[in-house]
Order: sequence, then structure tokens, then C-alpha cells
Amino acid sequence: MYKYIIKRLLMMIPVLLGVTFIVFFILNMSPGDPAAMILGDRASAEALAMKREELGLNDPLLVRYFNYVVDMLHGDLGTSYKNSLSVWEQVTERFPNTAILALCGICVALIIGIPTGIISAKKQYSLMDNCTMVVALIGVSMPAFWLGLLLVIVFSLNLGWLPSQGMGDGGMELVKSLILPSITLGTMSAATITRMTRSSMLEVIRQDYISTARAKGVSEKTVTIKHMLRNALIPIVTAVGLQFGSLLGGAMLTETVFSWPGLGRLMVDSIKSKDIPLVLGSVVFMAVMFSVVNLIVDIVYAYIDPRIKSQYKKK
Amino acid sequence: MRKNIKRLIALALATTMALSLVGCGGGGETSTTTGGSESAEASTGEGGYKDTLIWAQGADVTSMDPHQGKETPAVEVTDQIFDTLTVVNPATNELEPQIAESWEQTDDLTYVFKIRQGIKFHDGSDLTAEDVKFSLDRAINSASVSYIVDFIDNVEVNDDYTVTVTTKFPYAPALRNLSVPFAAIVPKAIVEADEEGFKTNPVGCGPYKFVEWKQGDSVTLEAFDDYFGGKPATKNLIMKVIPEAAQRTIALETGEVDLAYTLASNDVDKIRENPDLQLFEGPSMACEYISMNMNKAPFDDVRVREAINLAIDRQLIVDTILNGAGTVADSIIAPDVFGYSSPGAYEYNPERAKELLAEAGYPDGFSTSLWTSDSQTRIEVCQAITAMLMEVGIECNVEVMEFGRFIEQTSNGDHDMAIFGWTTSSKDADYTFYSLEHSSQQGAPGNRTFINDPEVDALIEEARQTTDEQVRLDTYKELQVLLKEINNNAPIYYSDVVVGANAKVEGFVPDPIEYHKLDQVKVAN
Repeated sequence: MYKYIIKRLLMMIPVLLGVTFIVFFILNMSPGDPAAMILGDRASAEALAMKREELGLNDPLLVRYFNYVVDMLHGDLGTSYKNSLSVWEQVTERFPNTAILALCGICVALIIGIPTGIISAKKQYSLMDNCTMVVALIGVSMPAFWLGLLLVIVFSLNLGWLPSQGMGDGGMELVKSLILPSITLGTMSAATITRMTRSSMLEVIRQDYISTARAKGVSEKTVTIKHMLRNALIPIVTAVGLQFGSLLGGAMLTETVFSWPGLGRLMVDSIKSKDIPLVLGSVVFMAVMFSVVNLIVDIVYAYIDPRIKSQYKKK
Repeated sequence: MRKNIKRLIALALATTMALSLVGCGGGGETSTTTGGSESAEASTGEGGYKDTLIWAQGADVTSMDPHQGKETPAVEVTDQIFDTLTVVNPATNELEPQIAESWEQTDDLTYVFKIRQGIKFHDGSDLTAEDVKFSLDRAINSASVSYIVDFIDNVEVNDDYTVTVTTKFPYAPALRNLSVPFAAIVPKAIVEADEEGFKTNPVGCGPYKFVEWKQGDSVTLEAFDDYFGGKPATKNLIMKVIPEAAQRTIALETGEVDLAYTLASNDVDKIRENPDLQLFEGPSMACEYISMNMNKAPFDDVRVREAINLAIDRQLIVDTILNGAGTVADSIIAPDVFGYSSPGAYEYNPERAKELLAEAGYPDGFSTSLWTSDSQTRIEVCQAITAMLMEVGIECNVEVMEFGRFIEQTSNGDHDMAIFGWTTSSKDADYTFYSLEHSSQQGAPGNRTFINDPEVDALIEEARQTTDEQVRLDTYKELQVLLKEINNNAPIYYSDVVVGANAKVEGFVPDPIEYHKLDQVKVAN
């Protein structure tokens, strides 16, 4: 098992190199000079030359990439073009905000998604199932900024219960400020999780061992949770892992609508201002997070399904 | 059955709300503050006024270093922390002393500034001539802001409170340039000791002290009691970043913020009609204009350029797209800029435009393109102009580009026509005319019509080198008439500065460049 984890962690290195390589070259080869971008529409030739030198844009692209990777391996993600502040500090300052929002978002998604998925699967083709699936479809297709604004209008503007934007400072304020963005984020993921739960439950629901369990006189609750859900969990966990991974990467729309100071907004802002080190730093960080979440999901598999655990042991 | 489903849905929603409350709880210290609105809950200050003022703006500070962060969202904050040698009064547009107590121009190239004694930086140290020299030299060497002070040849310290600034050439707008916030005076000792630290923990001599910057979220400032201009009216200032314009209005309506900058034009009426809110409107120093590339046919023909100017119905654009929050432009500098003189309004006359096009050899019009960066208002303006040009037979394609590419390609002169916005930050005509119309400034420095006219150059140079204000005004008047004949730009409109505020806000004066000063603003309980 540990060998497997170490192997997976080592495999992150080529992933990161690939990610940085692609992002670095896309950003540098896209039109628009970062120096001109920073200096705006009034920049003398001398100022542009000065800024390019300051940003180190005069070196060949490959040299710059090489330097970047060497620095990255030393834990230095560089400094932002825009404000000369450390990229690492900016990214790590924003990450906890994104993490707490992602965590709450995924909680909302699980609370809604799994029970509704189970009910839908058990009552397949009933009115309840059809309604749930329609709601789930709407949930998947609903744009975050629309749902977010709608919730703000109802709960902040009309009812005055919750703050419309921003991240509260600890305690109740934080909890209150988390509710609307979490519901916005969670609803979208909940829809995916509901559909995934329903379909994987349906796959196991007619298996022979379910009939056997029922024939043995096992209670319906135990049959549902122990025999059906546990066997149906692998694809659900995968879906949840993927959802959580992408939420950790920053839910850009939700963070923008709710003025949430997270990683997603940092990335949008830095892409807009072509702040290459900051975009790269955020992407590297997100890639690491995504890989880690995937690894955790793979480890969780082993606890859900003993067959997989035995396979890990063989490795 | 239907009832059951309704009940189920209601139950599901209620459970979600309750569970997310429980699920998200825990961690962090408990707070006695309830409700999301800090503004509503803020403790009271002196004399029935709140001790905290919260304002919302669309973007975070780019850099706390005034010699680096020149973008409006940065200056909106740093302007509270730093002061400059001179200042332009936003209400009267007159130049006034700030850090400099007085000045004297001893010859065409020399200014002697007497620095006010007793000014303290936020760390308690005294502001002296050394700090002034250090700051101006630092600004000159900063690629981001050097253009505002690069007329300076040398700064010399005469004694602790006297500085001599020598310019490279006679430069009339010098004093107004020194009032631009990027020419801020910073403490030499602190910056030299830890320049990196200064960028995140700025120290100035302005009315407010820096307290905290939560990047992407907020900046907190606290009144500096030893401010030489008197104690600020409100004890604490909080800037909140709210990127969505609609959300800024909502935050204003819910009372979460007291002031909201840069509102969406369709929210303006909503605020105007709300008795709990008030709207501050004022003319800005910004002009939106279309530059026609004179190096490219058919824009090398003055008749074509004039035809385009005649084909645009500016009033319609202001009334519809801007919802009235602007004024039709007749020059590329706004009326409040020193040196403005109306060369006469641009007429909307599509018939005459068609005639001119026919005279120029385009009786059936021609195809061209109009470039814009990805700003929603500009895109809408371009679409309207396209429709207007179509009426005179010009088929025009709007091309929307990401800002970096837009700046680079228009600097290279690849465009036919492109729309720009320009704010005369120094409030002096030279700032705009030199950059946009002088032949030495073609491309990236600002002249994107690529105009190269010796007569225009001569007038611009004359106006910037003469210190006699009347001569300057006369020269600019002549220049604006000439530019209207050349028609290289099509000025469209001057945007208004629109700030939404709680009805209890007092003492706010909108700044025409949007660098609103907040030291005299207070909010009644």
C-alpha cells in the first residue's frame, strides 16, 4: 500500500512538468506582451524596455522555462508580474478560503445527492424518480452565476438573512457567509452525484446477492445501505472525488459572484492581467491538489472494496 | 400526490439549509457579531456617526506601492495612505499645496518647493526634503509610473525643508503632474530598509494608516490622528472587493457597504429611486474615442474620417447604452481639464457623410473593422456605431480582443479603427494631447492614429513650454479646432463618475478621476 502511494506521488512529477510546460508555452505564445499589459495604453519605448528587463522577458523562452522549473523544484514559484509579491504566498493565502468553500460545497452536494439518488433508484420510473431526474438535469445545466444571484436576491436582499457577498471573519459570520456560496456550488455537484448514485445503484439493485440478502430476511435498510450502496459506491466516490478536485481548483464563477477571495478568482484575475508567474503558480497548485484528491480517492477504494485492497497489496 | 411532492421539496430545501449550517459550522472563535452586514453593525463613533466606512470597488489593489500600482483600483486605496507635493481640488479643479507648503518658479526650468514642517509619516518619523528627493527619483526609475515625472532632470535637496526640482525642458504642467498620486512621497528610511516589506505594509503620510490587506477580499485602514491636514472624519475605512457590478449594488441595498464605485449603468435608476440610497454623479476626466489609423487607406483621406465623424449619433449612444450617465464629446479632453475649449459639437449628418464618401471615391462605401478590448460597454458602443456606419454604406466588423493583444496590435498600427478610453489623470491638456497627438508618441506611448502633423506638433510643444496660462489656453483652443478639421479621432462621449451611497453618507465629493478621497466622509447612524 505505502509503495503504491509513494509510486503515485512520484508520478505527480511528470504530471506537473507536463502541466507547467503546456501552460507556460500557451501563455507566453499567446499574443499580448505582459510588459505592455502592465504599463497600459501609455507606455514609452524606454518604459517598455525597462519593464521587460525587470520581468526577465528578454531571455529565450526555453531558458525561461528551464529557470522556472529549476526554481519550482526549489520551492520558488517566482513573483507576480503585477505586484512583485511572492506567488507562493498569494496562492497559499487564497487556498484555505477555496478549501473551506469546496468542503462545504461538497457536503451540501453529498447531503442532497446521495439520498435523492438512492430514492430515485429504488423507486425507478416513479413520479418521484422522474421529478428528481428533471430537477437534477436543471441543477446540472443551471449556471452558477444565475443561481447565485437568485439566492442573493431572495436570502440577502428580500429576507435579509444572509450576507450577499464576501467571506466573514470567523465564527458565525463565516458560517453565514458560507451558506449561499456552498449551496450554489453544492447544487451543481449534487445534480451530478444524484445521477451517478442512481445509475450505479440501478446496476446492483437487481443482482442475485440482493435477492439472496432479502430472502435471508435482512432488513430493507441494511440491504440498501450495506449491500446495495456499498457495492455501488466506487463510481460514486470517483464522481465525488472528481467534483471535489475541481472545486478545490477554485469555483471561479461562484467565487466571483460571491466575491469570495479564493484561488479561482486569483486565477481569473491573473489570466486577465497576463500575470504568467501567478497563473502558473495557481495551476501548479491546483494540479497538485487534484492529484492528491485522486490519490485519496484511490486509497478510499481500498477501504470500500476489499478486492481492490488485495490488489494494492500485490503491488 | 402533488401536495406530497411540494412538501418533499420544501423539506429537502429546509434540510439543506439546516444541514449546511451545521455542516459548515465549527472552527474559528465565536463572535458576538450577528448578521452579515458589518456596516449595519458597526459600532458608533463620535457625535452620532459610525466609526467605520465601508466602500466596495470592482477589483483588488494591484500593488500597495504607489510607484507601481497605477491602476484606478489601486489608487483608490493608496490615495488614502499617501500624499503628494501638490493636489488638485476635485471640486474647484484648482491646484493647491499639500506636502509642499509653497513653491516658486525661479526660471523656466527650476522650481523651488518649500516643504511643510511637522508632517509625520505613519511610523512617527518626520517628512523631510530627503524623502521628497528619494520619492521623486524612485518614481522616475519606475517603468510603471515614470511617464508622469520624466520631465524632471534633477531633484536637489537644499536644506531639510527645501527642494529644487529642475526640469529637462520648460514644462508648464509640471505642478499638476506632481499632484498625480503616482508621484506620492514615501518614507526613504522605511523603503530603503525593507522594500519588499513596504509593498505589503505601506507607510505614508496621508490621512489613513494601513492596517491589513486580505488579498482579493478587503483592505482595512485606520485614521492617522497626527495627519497634518486634520483628523479624518471616520476612524476606520474598509475597502471590499466585489467584482460583480450587480453585487455591488445589492451590497449597497442590503447596507453591507456604504459606498459602491463603478456601478452598472442599468443599476443607476434603481439607486436613484431608492430613498435609502443616494447617487453621486459628476463629470469625469475620461473620454471614449475612436482612433482612425491614418497610415492605412481609406483613413488617410480626411473626407473619409470626417464622414465617419458625421455618421455617428453620439447623443443616441449616451441616452441608450450609457443610460444618460455621460456627455457627448467634442474634443478628446473633457470640459474640466485645463486647456479644454469646445471646437464646436460634432454634427450627426449621415447625408453629408455619404456625400463626403462619394467625393473621396467611395460612393458605395467600403469594408473596414473596428477593434475593441473586451469591455462590455465598449462592445455595445461599437455595435451601435457599426449599425450607424452601415447607414452611410460602410460595412464595419467589430473585433473584440483580450486587452494585451489589443494594446500590442494597436501599438503596431495593425488596426483600421479602434476604440479607446483615456483619462487625463493630471487634469492638464498636455497629458492627453502630447501622448495622443504628438508625432513622437506614435504607437505604444499613445498616438494610435499615427498622426504626424508639424502644425499639431508645434502647437502641442508651444503649449507645454509656455508658463503663461492665457497663452496656453489660446494655443489649446487653436489646437482643438485644428484637430477637429483633421478628424483623426472620433471623440464619442465623456463618461460620468457614478458612485452609489447610503443616504446617510455625508461629505463625499466624487473625484473626476475616481481617486475619491475619503478623509472628510462620514456616515450618520
